[in-house]
Amino acid sequence: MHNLGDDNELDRLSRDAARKYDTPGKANWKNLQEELDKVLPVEKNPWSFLFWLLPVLLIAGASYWLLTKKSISTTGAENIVAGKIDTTHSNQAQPSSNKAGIVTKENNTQNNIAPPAVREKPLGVNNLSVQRSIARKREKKNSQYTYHSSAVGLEKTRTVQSSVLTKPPTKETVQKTPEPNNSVGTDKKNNSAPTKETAAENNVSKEINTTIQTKEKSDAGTVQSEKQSVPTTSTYIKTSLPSFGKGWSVAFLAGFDKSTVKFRYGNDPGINIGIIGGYHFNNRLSIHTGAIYTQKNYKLSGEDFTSPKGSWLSYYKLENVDGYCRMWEVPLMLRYAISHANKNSYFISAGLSSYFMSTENYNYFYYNSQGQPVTKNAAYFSGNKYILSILHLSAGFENRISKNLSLQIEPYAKLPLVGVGFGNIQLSSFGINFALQSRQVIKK
Amino acid sequence: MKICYRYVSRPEEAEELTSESFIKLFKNIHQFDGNRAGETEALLKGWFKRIAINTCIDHLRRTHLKLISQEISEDNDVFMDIQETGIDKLAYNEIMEAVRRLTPVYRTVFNLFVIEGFSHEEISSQLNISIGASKSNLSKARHNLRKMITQQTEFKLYA
Repeated sequence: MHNLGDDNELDRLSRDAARKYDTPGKANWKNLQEELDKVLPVEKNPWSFLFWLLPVLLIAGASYWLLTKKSISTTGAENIVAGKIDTTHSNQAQPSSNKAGIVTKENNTQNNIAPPAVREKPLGVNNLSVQRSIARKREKKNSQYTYHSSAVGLEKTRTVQSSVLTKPPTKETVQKTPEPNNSVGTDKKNNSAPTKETAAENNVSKEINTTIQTKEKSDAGTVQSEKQSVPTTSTYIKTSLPSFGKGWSVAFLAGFDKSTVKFRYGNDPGINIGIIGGYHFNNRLSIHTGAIYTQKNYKLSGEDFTSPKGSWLSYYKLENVDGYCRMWEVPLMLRYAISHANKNSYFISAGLSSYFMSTENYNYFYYNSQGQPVTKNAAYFSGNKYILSILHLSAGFENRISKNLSLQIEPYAKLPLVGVGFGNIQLSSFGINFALQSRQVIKK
Repeated sequence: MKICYRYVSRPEEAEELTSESFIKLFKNIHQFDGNRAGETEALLKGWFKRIAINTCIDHLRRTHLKLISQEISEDNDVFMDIQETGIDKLAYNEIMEAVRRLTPVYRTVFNLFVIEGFSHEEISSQLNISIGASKSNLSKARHNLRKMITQQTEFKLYA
């Protein structure tokens, strides 16, 4: 029983009541949020788009390049085949003019820079089939073709690289055969006054070289018979992309990261931005390292969060924790190209990563001693280091876009070997990185 | 919401005042110094409580407290009979309902002095009244509260 006549007793009762009574109904948080949005609209970070810009640009650039490349390669193949057929035709049609039976530079040049009207004339059934087979062959191998003259038993050979490149061939690359008298005029004409159409054709077929191997005049008769029996083997195609060998590479990457602790909760994706350097032992094997700045967002169950002993957190049973961490990641990866071609390759990588934490920010959800739910935020600038503590696996696709540039798409998985962060959590990460790699080309 | 509910009679009014308090909080959050010693949460809680109380007082000043002079001169019955009551049987909610049934001036002074722990000087400056008026209002608030609680208890016992 209480003595209400005592002011202190009445006050105490009132204070207890004020602390423990329940208000009717519940707080209307939705209305409050709407009002707050009106009064204090959320400001968007104007620079946030930068995080998405690089991956988007990479994807858009790769798509554009693939589309453009496809159309150019089709046109190039047609031109090459047309030139080749012209060679055959000219060789067959003018046996009398080239009585020695030598495939001369003049003939070849004439064929390659022939006006489009000549090239686009309807081809016979046999020529079309040749065109298709060569185009298929070119697409399939997509690499340098080499002709071995030993097949026809020639003793002395000379290589002529036609002048279809916009860049004039050097003396080393072009070796002229002795010019027959009857073709000098044509050669001069072609070289001295190339038409606009020819220039355009040359630009289109930049990447194509034609190798012609001929025999010396002394074996003219033999060569003529060989040529007639194998008329098309005198023209060969190669791409201008040099193959890589040993060398260094550097890549700029950006990507998305999805982190999880035992796959219990989802969270927003994080980001990766970094630079990776590598050394390539050969075309297949390489080693890579670099620095990647990454933000990982995650949510985990309270039982997966190990509170440091002695901290205030250790006195509560956490329900769950969500947060993010920002860190520098230093991977050390060994990469092997499982499918290697001059243009496209597929690779797998394995290695270990080191984490250098910079910021950790957590929201803790727990019930206090009175059974009330509590949310508490805490930020740590721990600077914790986890050297080679993360297993890093990835596989990817590389597409070469120029002499030394290539685009890479690389999905990855990072599996923890130790607990990381303030809560010693087993943080796994999965994601995809887009990279633009520049690789050193070793001149042979 | 709990705080505001103690100062005003209508729940809708309490809700509006709560929203207003939150808006004030977020607008002035930059003034909050979370790096001071002690737990940030407790500091923030105290700060918000003060914002809510001030919001309620501002509201009452605008609407009800103009009647202060009338309240002071109001003649009330004195209930000084000391006796044991069946207060144990009363729920906390019923006590708070009795507080909420007090007139705005009495309720405000009672809340500020008894529950929030303000001094009469602080109350007088907050409400722009004299210290004597504050003491008088508190005394009358206690008296009326006692009366209401006793009536309620007697009614319950009778029932």
